[in-house]
Amino acid sequence: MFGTFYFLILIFVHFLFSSDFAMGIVPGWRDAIFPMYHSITSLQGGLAAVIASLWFIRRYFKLEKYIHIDQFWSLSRLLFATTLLWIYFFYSAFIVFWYGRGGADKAWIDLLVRGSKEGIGPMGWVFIFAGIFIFIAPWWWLIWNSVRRSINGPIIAASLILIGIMLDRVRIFVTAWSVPTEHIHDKYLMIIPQTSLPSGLDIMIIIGGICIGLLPILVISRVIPVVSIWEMQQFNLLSKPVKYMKTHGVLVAKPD
Amino acid sequence: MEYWSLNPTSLKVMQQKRNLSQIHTNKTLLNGQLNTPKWWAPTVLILGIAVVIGLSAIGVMVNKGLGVTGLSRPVYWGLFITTFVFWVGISHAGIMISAILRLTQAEWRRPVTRAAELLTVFSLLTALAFPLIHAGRPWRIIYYIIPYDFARGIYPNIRSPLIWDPVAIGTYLTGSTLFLYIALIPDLGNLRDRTTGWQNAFYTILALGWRGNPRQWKMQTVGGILLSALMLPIFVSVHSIVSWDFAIIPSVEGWHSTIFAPYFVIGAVHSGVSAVVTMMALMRWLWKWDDFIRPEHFDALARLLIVVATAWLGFTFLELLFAVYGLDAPELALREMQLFQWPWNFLFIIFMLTAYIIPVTMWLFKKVRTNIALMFWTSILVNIGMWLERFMIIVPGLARKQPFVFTWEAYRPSGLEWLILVWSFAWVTFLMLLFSRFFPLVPLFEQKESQVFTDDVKIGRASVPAIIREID
Amino acid sequence: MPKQSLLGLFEKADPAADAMDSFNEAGFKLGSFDVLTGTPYPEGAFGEHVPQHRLFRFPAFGAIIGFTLAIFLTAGTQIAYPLVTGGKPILSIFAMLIIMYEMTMLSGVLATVVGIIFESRLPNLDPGVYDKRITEGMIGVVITLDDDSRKKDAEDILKKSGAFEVKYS
Repeated sequence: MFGTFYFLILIFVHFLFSSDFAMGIVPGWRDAIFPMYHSITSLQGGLAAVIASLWFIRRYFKLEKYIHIDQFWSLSRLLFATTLLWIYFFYSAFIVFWYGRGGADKAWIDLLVRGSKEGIGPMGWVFIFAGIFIFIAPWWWLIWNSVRRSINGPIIAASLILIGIMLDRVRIFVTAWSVPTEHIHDKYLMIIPQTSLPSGLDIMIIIGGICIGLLPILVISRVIPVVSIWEMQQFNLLSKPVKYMKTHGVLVAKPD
Repeated sequence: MEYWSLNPTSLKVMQQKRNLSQIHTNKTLLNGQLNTPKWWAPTVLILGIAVVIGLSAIGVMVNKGLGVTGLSRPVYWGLFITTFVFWVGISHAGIMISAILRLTQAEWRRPVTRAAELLTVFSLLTALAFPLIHAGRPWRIIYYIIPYDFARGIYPNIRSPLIWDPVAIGTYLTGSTLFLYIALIPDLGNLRDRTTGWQNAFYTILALGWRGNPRQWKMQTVGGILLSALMLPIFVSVHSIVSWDFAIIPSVEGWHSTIFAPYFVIGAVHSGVSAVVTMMALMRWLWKWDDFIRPEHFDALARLLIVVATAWLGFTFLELLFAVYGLDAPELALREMQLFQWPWNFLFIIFMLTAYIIPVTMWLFKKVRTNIALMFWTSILVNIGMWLERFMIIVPGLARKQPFVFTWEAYRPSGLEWLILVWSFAWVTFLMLLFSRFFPLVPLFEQKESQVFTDDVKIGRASVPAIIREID
Repeated sequence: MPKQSLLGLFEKADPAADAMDSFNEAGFKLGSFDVLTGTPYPEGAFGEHVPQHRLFRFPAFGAIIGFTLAIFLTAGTQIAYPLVTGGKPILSIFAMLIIMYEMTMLSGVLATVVGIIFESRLPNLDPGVYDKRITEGMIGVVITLDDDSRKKDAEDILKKSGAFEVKYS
């Protein structure tokens, strides 16, 4: 029950972020799927972060006995599904704009996908790399069962996805905020603004932002256990290896 | 390592908590084929007459032309296209239930899968008929979908979404038919063992010499999962492509929305799963399969439906919100018409009540979820609502008065169109009953498998249902 | 000497599994004996030789063929009749992608179905010794012998493990 509300809040937060901080300041950008796209990518990033942190916890907290290949296996299956969801949600929006060919439609593609009116601009390259890191590379990597069922396989896909999602966010928000103030009340965007490149200070802020996210996790892990102990115990209670005739299986009890 | 002792021969069915012998399972679930109920022949006859009437109506329309329908400029897409989208939506039940539940190893899927796949195949066949009917000159469609040059030097325009549709639906139809057949093979082997004479010959050919050795069972399991994984992306793509028929058109307000693809898919799942509920209630009543189709199954489906319906409502909300968000005058005018003008406001209220408010509020109560009659009626309500949803998407955008257009709001579906709509329901039911005469509607081997794989375990004093997972 | 098969019928699964074990111990060729059931059991439940398969190659192969065909079809038809519609380029990749995707998937599914049937060793035109009660819950253990020399051994093992009936082909 609590989980349901938690999930709804997540969707709502992304709805707010995406429509208010990105879509709202680009004139003529009317994209109903965008909040869902934003939520999906965030879920994907979250999943990748969980895999990465699980890997680090297992490695550096010496929890090999508790974190098994099973967790990586099931998480990487989900991660694989999200890579497909990403391309689906992106393409659903893209084909509508590409086919529509109205002024606002064309402006969206030029601004957020190609990054310029002619050829491929800097943001176009950011988009291409985001696509490779979020979809193409992890999809091709995770399609192999032997990769999904390993400890060190999923972490590679997870790292790629984390980089890719960072790039995708840069593409969306930096581009949205580079729209000149005098143009934000136009019917749609007639000009494609210059890409603003990060200065040294920007890069330092980005690094600091990532670190400030990691710091409390590490601090708190000193005080509270990183693996939920009672859930581990419940799992031990509810699932047991069984001998089934001549083979072995796991009997999983499912209380209501 | 500590092992639980487990005696596979005394296993019980998880949800039924009672041991059903395989002979009993065979006898009950094969009653459609071996011991056809008395109501079957008269019902099929009546439905057959209805189907013939419907086909005659289509014949009249082809002969006289589209003038006998209410379609004209500017409303060129009406009841036929709405019904097409509706049946494509229903067809999403099969793969949703069968593939997703197979992949997530949900135990309660077992009696549901075949019925759901069947609904997919037959509703897709029906859906496919509607664009043909709608074309008025059905044979001419061949020119634009078959990639062959009929001595005119013209190839199909693959940039047109009207080509994407037959490609996607053809893929889905072929795939789901084969999926249905593969999962049918073990049961065909069973029927072969239970029949004599020409029936035996018929099933022997179809069963391909099935024996039931570990290799064949392994292929059933692995192949089932692999096919599910392949069918899932097809299932998503089909309704997305149908939605792009509308979404890529910038000139009609209310259509050019990026959310259409997932919005249509989730709506299709909502109506499809509801249709499965309707069908399961009918199966339980008609064939008296009370031992196999249990209130627990309705409970599980209703819980799934609450989630799906709420997600669908979220998409509806997003679609509406971002339509008015742009503050384009024509778009606002359309939404005002849809929500506040007669008769659209009336239809909108009915649509909201039937597609979400009444059923979902009722499903919140466990008493309703386990009451089969109530589930039957609420699932029908959902499909009335979902049909209206498609109608509300397709027609108002075309019917609205636009500048420099001197015909508008001219659409009144003619009696013939309603007749063809009714025909489609008779036709699907007819095909379904015909199928049930020759093939089992509940997969027998899956039903028996659940007896092998499940058991109750004692944890302290509590008895908890458990399932065996293979370590592989 | 023609091949001969024996089928032992068991009421319960455990004795059938014992029979499989005894065949193994008695040195019968691995793969010459098999178990027939009316419902899937967990893999290896009868101590049987776990079948190897190459099913996963089929969809990959099918997908490659479908994708290649789709490229030729989509690109070919557009180049063969170059008509600009809606200001879109003649080779409209984003429209082609949809058809390529569907054809790839279709061909993948077709190959998988062929693969499932092939890897199940179906259609089986000569099913051999069989009993109709297997689909009613009996367990059958079938053994195929090259000649008569060990027929007696095999029959003894089946009977001793608890087969209530032994059939010959």
